[in-house]
Parts: sequence; C-alpha cells; structure tokens
Amino acid sequence: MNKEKISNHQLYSLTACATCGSSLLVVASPVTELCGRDGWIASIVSSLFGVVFILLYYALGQLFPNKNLIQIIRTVFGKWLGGIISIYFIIFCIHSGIQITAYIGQFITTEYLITSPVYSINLLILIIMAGALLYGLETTVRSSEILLKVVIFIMAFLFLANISNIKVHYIQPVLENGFYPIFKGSLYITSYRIWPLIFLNMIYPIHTDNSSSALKAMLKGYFLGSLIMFLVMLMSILVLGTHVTSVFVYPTYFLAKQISFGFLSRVEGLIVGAWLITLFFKGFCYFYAGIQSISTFMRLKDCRKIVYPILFVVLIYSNIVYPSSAYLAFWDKYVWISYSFTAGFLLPAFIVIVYFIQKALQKTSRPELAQDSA
Amino acid sequence: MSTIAIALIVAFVVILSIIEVPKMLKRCLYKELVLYSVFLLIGAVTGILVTLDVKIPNPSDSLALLLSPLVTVVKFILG
Repeated sequence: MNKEKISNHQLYSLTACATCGSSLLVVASPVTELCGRDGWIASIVSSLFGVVFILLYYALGQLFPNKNLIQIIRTVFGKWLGGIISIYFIIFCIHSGIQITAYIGQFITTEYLITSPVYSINLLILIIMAGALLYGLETTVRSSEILLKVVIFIMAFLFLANISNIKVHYIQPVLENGFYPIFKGSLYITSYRIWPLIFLNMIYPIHTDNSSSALKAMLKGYFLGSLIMFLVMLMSILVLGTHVTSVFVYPTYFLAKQISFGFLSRVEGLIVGAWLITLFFKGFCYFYAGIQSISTFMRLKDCRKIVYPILFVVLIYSNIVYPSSAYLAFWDKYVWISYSFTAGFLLPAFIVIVYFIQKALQKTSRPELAQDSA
Repeated sequence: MSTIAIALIVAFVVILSIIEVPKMLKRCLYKELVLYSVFLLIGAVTGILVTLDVKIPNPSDSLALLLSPLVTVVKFILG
C-alpha cells in the first residue's frame, strides 16, 4: 500500500459529504414517524451528542499514530480475536456498500426509469465506483472538494426557494409529547450520521498529517453536514407538515417539487444530483474502508487487483439484500441501529478500554520485575 | 433472457481473467490471485443462480439473527 497523503481541507470535505450521505432523501420520514413535529430538535440533540463520538475516533487515531484500524485491532486484541473482529468490520463495510447501491437503484427505478431492471442502474454506479477505487484515495478526495461546493449551492437554493411555502403553524406546538420521542429520533439519526464515521479511522491517522488541525477539519466537516441535515428536517416539517413527511418514502424529493416561481419549476432533478453526489462519497468511503481492511488483514501487496471481483459480488447481491419495502422499513429502523451501534461505538470503545487496561497491567508488572532483579 | 445473462456473466469472468491473471502471475501476487478467484467464483455462481430464479439466502437475515438480542432492546426503546 503506497502512502497517500490528503490535506486537512480534503478531510473536511470528505467528512461533510459522508455525514450527509443517504440522509438527504430518506431520513426525514422515519424520524417524523418516531417523534412528530420535533424532528428538528432531535437533529440538534444528535449533532451535539455526536461530538463525543468524533472525539473518540480522533483519540483512537492519536493513541496509535500511523496505523490502520485493522492494524490497531491486531495490536490490541492479538491474532485470533483480532481476526474475528476484523472480519466483522469487513462485513460491516461491504454490506453497507451493497445497501447504498441498492438505495440508488431503487430510487431511480421508482421515480424515473420505471421499467428498467435494477441491475442496469447498479452496474452504472458500480462502474464509476470501480474507477474511483482504482484511481485511489487522493484523486477521489480532490473531486469531493469540488463537488461539496456544488452540493452546498444546490441545498442553499432548495432552502431559499422554499421560504415562501413555509407555514409556521405546522411546527406548533413545540415539545408537545415531551423529551422521550426526541431521544428516540436522535438515536435513529445518530445511527445514520455518526456511527458509520468509523470508516474515517481507515483514512485518518495513516493518510493525513497527524495534528490537532485534523480534528478541526473533521469537526468542521461534521458540523457542515449536520447543518445541512438539520435544515432539511426543518424545511420538510415547515413546508409539508408531519403527516405528509411521515407518509412519503422520499420527502425531500417532494419538498423540491413544491418550488414554483414562474419559470422555476420541476427542479427536483437538482436534489437527485446532490443526493447522488453525497451517496457516492459515502459508498466510496465504505468500499475503500472494506478493500483496505481486506488488504491489510491478508497482508496483500497490491490492493487494486481485488476491486473488480468484489464489485461484481456487490452487483449480484444488490438486488437480494432488500427484497421488499416492508423488509427495508423494518431492517433500517431496528437492525441497522444495533448494527452501527456495535461497529461504530462498541468497537472503538472496547479498543480504548482494552488498551488502557493493558497499559495499567504493564505498569503494575514492571515494578515487581525491578524488585526481583534488585 | 436467462441464457443472455449467463453468457454475459461468463464472458465478463473470462475477459477479466485473460487481462488480469497474467499480470498477477508475472508479479508473483499469489494471495491476490486466491482472493480474486474466490470472489469471482462466488459472484459468478450466485449470478447464475439468480438468473435461474433460485432463492439466494439474504446476508441481512443472518445479520438480523446474529444481532437479535440488541434488536429486541431497540424494539423496546423505540416502541
């Protein structure tokens, strides 16, 4: 694996795109189902709560400079237990990548190309993904710098053009059901926005300059992504109301359909473009983390030879992994929260705890050796 | 329809191998060759079974089974 270096600004734009991710289109609906009108409060709460997890991932990189996540796992847990945990992480990355491809295919066959087979759209996306993976991390992250500006411009246009459609009484009364539904909503949002950011630990210590400005870059990107998501949530509730937001599968798409200023109408294609960009970068991060994990775990010399076979398997499985919408609704709400909780919170927390226990045990055993030799 | 799909899958596997395998053997990358053939075999077999309408086990089901205690906790929290 050649050492590629990415700058702090590129880390910032990659984190911003990866935090938005799939939330741009689909998250507003289940959150409104869970907590009613107060979805925007849940977004704020989970953004503040998520800073703790970003600091945890940063601390993990600081404790082990110049090491991949898989190398960290092997150092702390040894060969056999570390092997099992590494395989779990690899399955997490590749399976989430398969789900992202399935999301793109399902959306485009639902709204635009209704009679096309899903495999044709997944094939197109995976060809682009293969190109990005073969070019490497540096090139793709440079393109994320440019495309982030495009995403910001499109989302700003969406919010500003919808200001005339706001009906403030949709958001009143605030905090009608108390704080427990907000906690439920923020748990759901955290599992989509923050816990998957564990894949940044495959990029962060080993490919960037190791300093506190990397932490600032990650936090800036995270806050920018959270701000965009908060505004999406707020505008969905203000313009559409709770019932419509909770019923539609793609509420932001319907929000974009409300824009009509004379000649400016039918601009929902812009939102699809912004969503595809952020989803592409999130999927690229998942696949990059998965392929780097496999090549670190098996100690391969060239990680680019396995890109084509893995993406071939992803293409075949992309139509199997979500057999129906009811399965998607159940899996995304209940199983995904537990899944990203184990990979995004339990895994780094265990690594840090076991590392400190090992250090404490080493300190207590060394004074005994000194007394024995004296 | 299924014969076209099977022919496409086989053609992809053959063309990719003709291009990639000599390059890997020349640089003596044997571990990569093993992983490459394992994944390509999984993909080709699963692809042919999908075109013949055989039901493939879903990896999401096995993950839901593995995480079932946590899923009950989440169901209790989310109501």
